[in-house]
Amino acid sequence: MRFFNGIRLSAKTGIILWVAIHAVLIVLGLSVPWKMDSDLYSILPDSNEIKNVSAAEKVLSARNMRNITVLVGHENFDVARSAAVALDSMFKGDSSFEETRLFVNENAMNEMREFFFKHRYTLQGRTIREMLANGDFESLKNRAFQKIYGSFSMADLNHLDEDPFLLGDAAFENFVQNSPMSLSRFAIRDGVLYATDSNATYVMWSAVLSEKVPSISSEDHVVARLNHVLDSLKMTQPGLLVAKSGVPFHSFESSDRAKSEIAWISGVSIVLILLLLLYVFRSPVPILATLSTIAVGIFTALAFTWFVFGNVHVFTFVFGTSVIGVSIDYAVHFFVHRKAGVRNVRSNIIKGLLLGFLTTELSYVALSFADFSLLRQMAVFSMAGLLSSFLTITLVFHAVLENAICSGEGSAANSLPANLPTRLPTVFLNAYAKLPKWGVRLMFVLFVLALIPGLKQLHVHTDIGNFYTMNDEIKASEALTSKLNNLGVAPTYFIVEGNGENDVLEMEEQLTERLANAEKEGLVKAYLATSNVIPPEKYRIEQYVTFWKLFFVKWSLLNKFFENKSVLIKPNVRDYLTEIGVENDSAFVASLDLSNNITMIRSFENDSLPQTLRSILQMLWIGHIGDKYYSAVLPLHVSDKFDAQKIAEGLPNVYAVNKVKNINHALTKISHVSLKLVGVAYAIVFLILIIVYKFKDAVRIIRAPVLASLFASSVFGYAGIDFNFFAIVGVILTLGIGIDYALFFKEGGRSNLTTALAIMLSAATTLISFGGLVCSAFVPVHTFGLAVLLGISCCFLLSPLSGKR
Amino acid sequence: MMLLGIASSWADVFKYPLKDSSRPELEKSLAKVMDYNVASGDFKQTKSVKKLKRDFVSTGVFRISKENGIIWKTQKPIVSELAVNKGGVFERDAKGVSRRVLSKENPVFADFSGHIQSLLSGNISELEKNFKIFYEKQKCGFKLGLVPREGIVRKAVANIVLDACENVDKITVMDNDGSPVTYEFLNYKTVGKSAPVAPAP
Repeated sequence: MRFFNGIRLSAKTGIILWVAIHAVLIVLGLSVPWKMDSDLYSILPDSNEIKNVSAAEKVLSARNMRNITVLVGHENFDVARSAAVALDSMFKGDSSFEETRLFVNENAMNEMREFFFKHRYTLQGRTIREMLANGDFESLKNRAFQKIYGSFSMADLNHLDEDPFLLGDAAFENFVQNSPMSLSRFAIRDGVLYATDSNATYVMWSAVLSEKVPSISSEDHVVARLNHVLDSLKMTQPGLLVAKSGVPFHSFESSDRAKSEIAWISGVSIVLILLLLLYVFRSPVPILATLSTIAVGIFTALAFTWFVFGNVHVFTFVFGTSVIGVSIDYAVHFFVHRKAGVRNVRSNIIKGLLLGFLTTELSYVALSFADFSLLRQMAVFSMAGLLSSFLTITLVFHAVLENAICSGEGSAANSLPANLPTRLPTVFLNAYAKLPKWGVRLMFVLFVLALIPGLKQLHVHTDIGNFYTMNDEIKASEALTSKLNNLGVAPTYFIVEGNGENDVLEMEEQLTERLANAEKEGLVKAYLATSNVIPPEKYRIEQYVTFWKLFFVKWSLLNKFFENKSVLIKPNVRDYLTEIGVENDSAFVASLDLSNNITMIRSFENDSLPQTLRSILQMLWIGHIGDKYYSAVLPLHVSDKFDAQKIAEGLPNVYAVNKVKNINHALTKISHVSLKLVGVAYAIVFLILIIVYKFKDAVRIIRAPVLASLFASSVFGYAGIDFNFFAIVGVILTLGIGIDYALFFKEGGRSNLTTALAIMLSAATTLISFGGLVCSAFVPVHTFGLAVLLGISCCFLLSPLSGKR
Repeated sequence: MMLLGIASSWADVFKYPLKDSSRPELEKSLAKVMDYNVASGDFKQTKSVKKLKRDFVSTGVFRISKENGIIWKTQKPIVSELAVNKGGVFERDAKGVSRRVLSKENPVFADFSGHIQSLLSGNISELEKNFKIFYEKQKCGFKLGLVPREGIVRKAVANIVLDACENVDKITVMDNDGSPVTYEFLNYKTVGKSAPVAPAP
């Protein structure tokens, strides 16, 4: 049997080759553990051009994206509280949660007081540090006096002999002022956190989802169970209000909506496609064969992608549907020719099929160079799937289906198809047959001219903010939670990088100094930073030494100093101690002994920190990534004039990060790069076409998909719709699929009814499957579907002009 | 000695939880001592630290206006001023530097100001939401005992005892370690008392 370009391949060899290639691709996939990634967040590109900063940002986001908050409200506090208690009891110990929180630890504040008392010589805030820096003993003394004699002071005077300057209280006060608690509108009542709004009292229940919980919805998903419990509570308790907040609710809601939409859209599409194929072929064989091709293609694509990437994102699967589209196209071509009684179908269609396959593969090869994991996965998935479908049709279909049915009967490829509906293709081809040459040329000129204004207005921009629209309930919940938490984290925050922990803290100090000035200028209300509570080691040592110098006559680390301690206390300190009734100063002197403080100066092990402090630092301290350390500094309640970039300016290793803005920028950049890569791929395709068909015909073939892609882009421009990343993927798909139509017409000729019918069927199936996506409310899917619908429609209409009359 | 004296006096009231039968009497008594628009006078604050067996005494003046809030000026041995009004809690030190301690949005302020409002208006039901109430009638006036319901608050303030005869004479705030802070009120003056109800003819 003669293969394209003179290579001979028997049916048996073909089957062996098919089995061998599929076995290799699938065995490679089976050799690695299979992992389906359903994390919606992970599809986003790096939010910062600096890889490590982006990685640090991702670590921080990953921590927060598993947190959820549920506010249970009622006009009666007791009702709200009992509902929250019921909710907590339902999910306490649930394996889907890492932890659940309702009751406030009564000892938390005392633990914090004790911690800061223990570290009072090293963990002072800016106010005390400024007093120390100026040697301002008087201010230090007056502050303590105010606390001792002032009214309504909460300072604990029990440790006055050890801590006569109430430095433990000062360090604790600094912590409170610099913690999120200082802004929160929640207070404690009956052991729970509550806040009031619009005559309702809300009790806070919060939880952290386990890492193993997927973000894609399912019936037994913990968010579904949580929603069910909350609905039951609302049913049993009239007037109960519920506000849900946190990324898991959004992921669940959007994936649930997307899933039901996709199920509905693909259900209708599949039924329509099957009916269409059944109408044309009047036999289940082509349908079953096509479905088998798709199934084998997808399985092979999945296995190979797994092998290459170690996992497959669910979005790769959704957007890699071009495999289905092209598999159907190839199969349709085969069966239309077969049904038309064409002898040796493969030989008749192989040139068009092979060129179509190679050009589509080239587009995907180009995309695999894009610096975006999702795009690379999609490209590899599509390449493997396409290869599988191509081999199935050219090798298996040929061996199994062709010889059995076409024996002895049939006609030439360009004859009228028998047993096939011919009216529509005849009308379609007649419309083109009557077009004069000058008419075609004029039409192309006018068409290109009409595209220009739209292309000029084209806005290549991706805004992930537009991808998901919250429903009113979630929007109101988020607004209420944000109002009551009152944290007001600015969209742009800072990531600080350093070679070690102290490097990071020292860099933070420089940054927070600028933020403190911005606070004075009213540009920012507050800011959260690790160094606000735990200064760098250098400052901790400095504080300790300065306290020594301030309290004692001579600075010495020698133990013998303590033997003679009483005479070494400075007179002003002695007078103050006398004034507040401290007769025996030994406890005070001993408290400054280096051996009591050395561990507190050196480092802070996470385990040694109280739980409350650990929780707060979890929001800020990112830790070790690669060979560097990272932390975040969060400005709160910023004014419109707050310019994070300006604040970070000139500070090495301080990065102002606006996640949404950066991701939008990255996606827009990737879109541009993708277009360029596909442009390069198309240039190569064009060269191949010139070699195969000569220049004039190559132009005729390539103009249909290129103009169709420009048409889709121009419509986006005219309609004022952002030409986002997903629209670009749609256009790339148009280029990949659309060129096949032009090639088939080129091979079959403009007046070949068999070719026309095959292409009409291919286009119809593609338009049904992708056109349905336009109905999706999920913006990426809708945009992708719209781009393909416009591109393929246009390409279908232009492609007959690629063939000879 | 003083510690012992205080200990015996504050402890007694907690033998008498507020009963429904004594509620009207407490409301009436409280309304009587709080019957003013503005109250002012001198105060003596004694912080007794049980562990150190030491007292820290300070004195000053106060002014309580039901309309404009509270001003609390400590004059000796340090000068400082605390103001509680609709905008929050403010503090001014000896150098005249003032700062906002609590903003009006802060829930702690809302609770604090709510408790004061309840006390000044004699709203027992409101006070009961956050405190267990004890009431003991005295030869002259009454003693009111308040124990915070909230465990975390009790870690800082174990209880509060208010002693009143014609006016509020003394408030004792006991911390968790058993160290009391006593506020004694002297030269108490009020403005805007309601006119006495005329006896029936």
